[in-house]
Amino acid sequence: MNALAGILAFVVQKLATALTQLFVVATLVFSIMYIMPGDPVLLLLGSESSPSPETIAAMRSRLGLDQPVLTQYVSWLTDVVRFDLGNSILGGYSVGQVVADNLPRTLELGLAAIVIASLIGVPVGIAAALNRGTLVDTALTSMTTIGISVPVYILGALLIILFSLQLGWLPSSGYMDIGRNAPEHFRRLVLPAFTLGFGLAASIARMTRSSMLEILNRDFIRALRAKGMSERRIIWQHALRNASIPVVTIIGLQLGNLMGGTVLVEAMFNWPGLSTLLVDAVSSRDYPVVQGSVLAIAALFIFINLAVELIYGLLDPRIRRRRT
Amino acid sequence: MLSVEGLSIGFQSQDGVVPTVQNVSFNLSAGEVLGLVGESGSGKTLTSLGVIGLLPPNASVTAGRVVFEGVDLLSLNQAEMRKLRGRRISMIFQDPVASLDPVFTCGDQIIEAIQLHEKIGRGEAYRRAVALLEREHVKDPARVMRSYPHELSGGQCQRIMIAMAVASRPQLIIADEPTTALDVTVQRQVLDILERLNEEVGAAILLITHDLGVVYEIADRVIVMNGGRLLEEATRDEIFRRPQHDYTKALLDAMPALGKRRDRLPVIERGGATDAPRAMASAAPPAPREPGPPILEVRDLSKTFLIKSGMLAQTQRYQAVDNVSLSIARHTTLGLVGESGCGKTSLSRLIMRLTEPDSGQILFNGTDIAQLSERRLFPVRRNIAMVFQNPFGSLNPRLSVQEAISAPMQIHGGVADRPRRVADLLDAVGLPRNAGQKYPHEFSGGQRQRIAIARALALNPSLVICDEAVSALDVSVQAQVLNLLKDLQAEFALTYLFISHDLSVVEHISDTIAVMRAGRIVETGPADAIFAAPQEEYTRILLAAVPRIGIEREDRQERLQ
Repeated sequence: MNALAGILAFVVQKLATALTQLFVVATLVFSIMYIMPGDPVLLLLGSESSPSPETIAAMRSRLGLDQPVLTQYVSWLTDVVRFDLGNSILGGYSVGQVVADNLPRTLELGLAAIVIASLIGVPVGIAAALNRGTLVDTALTSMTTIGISVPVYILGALLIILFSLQLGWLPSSGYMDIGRNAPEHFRRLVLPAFTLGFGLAASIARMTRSSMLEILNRDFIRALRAKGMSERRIIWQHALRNASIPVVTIIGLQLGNLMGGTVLVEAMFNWPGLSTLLVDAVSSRDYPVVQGSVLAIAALFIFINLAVELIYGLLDPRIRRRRT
Repeated sequence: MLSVEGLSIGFQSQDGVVPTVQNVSFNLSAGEVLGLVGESGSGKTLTSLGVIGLLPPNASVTAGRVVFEGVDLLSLNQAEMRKLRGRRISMIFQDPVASLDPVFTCGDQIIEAIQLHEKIGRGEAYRRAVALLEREHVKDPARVMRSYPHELSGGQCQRIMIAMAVASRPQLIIADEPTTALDVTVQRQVLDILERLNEEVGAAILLITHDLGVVYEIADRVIVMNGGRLLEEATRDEIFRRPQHDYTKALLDAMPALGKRRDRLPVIERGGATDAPRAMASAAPPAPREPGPPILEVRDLSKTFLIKSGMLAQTQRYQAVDNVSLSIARHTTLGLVGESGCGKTSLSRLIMRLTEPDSGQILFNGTDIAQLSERRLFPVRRNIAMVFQNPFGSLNPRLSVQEAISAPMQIHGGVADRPRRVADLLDAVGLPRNAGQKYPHEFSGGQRQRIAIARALALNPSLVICDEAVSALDVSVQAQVLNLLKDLQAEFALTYLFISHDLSVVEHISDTIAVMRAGRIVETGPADAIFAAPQEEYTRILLAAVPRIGIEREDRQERLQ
């Protein structure tokens, strides 16, 4: 098997897994309707004090709820595949549209958090590893302990107080469309993304440190030194690529935390993303919107996970062709 | 060309500097091959790292000079050293697979090595790399260039390391145990390559090894180190014909040699009145017991593993053990030899029923245990014990020796006075009684292997499977453990299945031999007959590849007797 075919097979395999996961999630989301207490029809007709049985039956028939479960399931899946997520009970607007509006904002926030976390975490980890056992190492490692233990909402509040209220450098909250004012868009992204990514940065720094220390002790590093390669090149070109494999794993594992964090961060910074949509929908019991946003969040999670796995394969040829 | 003068190296510790290499001096002239021989802990590797300036961070040179072409290397700074490394002085390491970066292709790594020291384009560097591989007779160099290290064998990886080392025609190549991790036939090929490059390129080679056979094959001169000191320096012929130092003599005598069977190997005694270790004729062995009827008979045993290289790739069948039949008479030793990947370990795991066989019979004392249920197999298990290769990995570091040895008794029961039994076993394997309260890390490799042997004997087994049980040990320790195994065989009426890649060890200990290749037994018979007149081509190739310490040593030994 040549290299290209190997990579292609790897990608196809990962894609197939991701699609299967999406299908399972869609099925679970569909069953929320049946697991959750309360009759959606009664909710829909909530404005009327006591709807007549005829009204209820008519509504059921209109929504297709009088069909067998399997039929409903199939038609729900068909709709989902066509990105038709139904309409909001309260606003009547298309759920698909509002999800499509909000999803990129959450994706942007999450990716910005990962980028910021990597930009901070990797150099900090390398610095700690190269200065192992010194004051620098101790200081950086203690900082990561703080980073992991400070909750998102406290960090967010502190950052708002410092950078918006005291220094006035950055806006405290809100969102600006990138098409209308790009610089302002990014100014408003900085604080929420940093808040969201700080804990991840600490995890990345720790993993980079221990992983670098392990790699720098490996035989091939000594062999590279014996070849006459400079220390800088050994670290950035050889050690880091080997050390980054567990770091990417950490990013993948922390994705769940990151998505959980968006709920708080979006609320705190008034960021109109999927989590905001979901929280609002849950409090107003707007089931189609809940379903749609849960599905979208799950899809986002699966998508980023897929990206992590593909990066994995690019980094390490042994994972690409691992024998089962 | 290279002159090491009074080199001393010490390790930093809490109690100050611990001297590890003391006052070592030697010279190496252009084009010469110098063998640096010593056992683990002798300071041979540290000396070589001191020469190339790659000592571990907690070690430092405390005295001496390393003069290379008129320049004292110890006075150079890192940048100046870097210009020498890989270009004028290059190094080859013990574990070739681990010495290559796993995430880059081998080609990229050779090209990188070439471009580090020469300003040439990538295309030119690629052609040079392929030419280097061709010179080493690497088959299909283009494919090897595209491959990652894990896709190649140890021998191929070592060829890539050598290609990198000779890429810029260095004056000096330091080869640190270059063939230790390789099979005997591959070792042969790698030694040939080194020898040829030494002639073609004219590079001097500092060959560091524990294996006197390797030194005998290619060295011009030999220096012997022990305990951080240089004991003896002589030409190759002199060292094998007329070794001066007691330690060198002992080292030569402790090695089992092909075609020269002895009942016991002399061991090297340490400590005592004189500081220098020397050979001791060990006590007379107990008389061996008469061979009995077969205790283990394996009939047509097969095992196929299914390998999938990816979800979409086709499943491939890998026949690890292919229709194997063998039989071991009671109180004898069957030596199972073969190169890595030939299926010897798979076969031993099948006999232990650690892996389920696909088909065939395993008759133990006449009962077929191949298909027994785990519950019915349990009582049989106490009769079969195993000693593994790595004494560091096979003992639980959290268990004291006492607990480790009594663990099998706890599992199977039936021993009334366990502490007493442990004490008896420690006596039998030659460890002090107070060893029971200690933990594995407090012991050396040879002592740990004794503990592992004591554990194997805990339940009075009748069959002991030794899977490369002495391969990880130094020559002198290996001799002790081999003697111990022989003594125990007579004392406890044991039968051994002795698995090893080392033919001279197998010849020393075995009554019958089975040669395995690609899952099949290719030749089997009495040890004397097989080593005297091998019938199969493969056995002949294996035997021919073993470095032989020539007639000099045999002369010496006959004179001794």
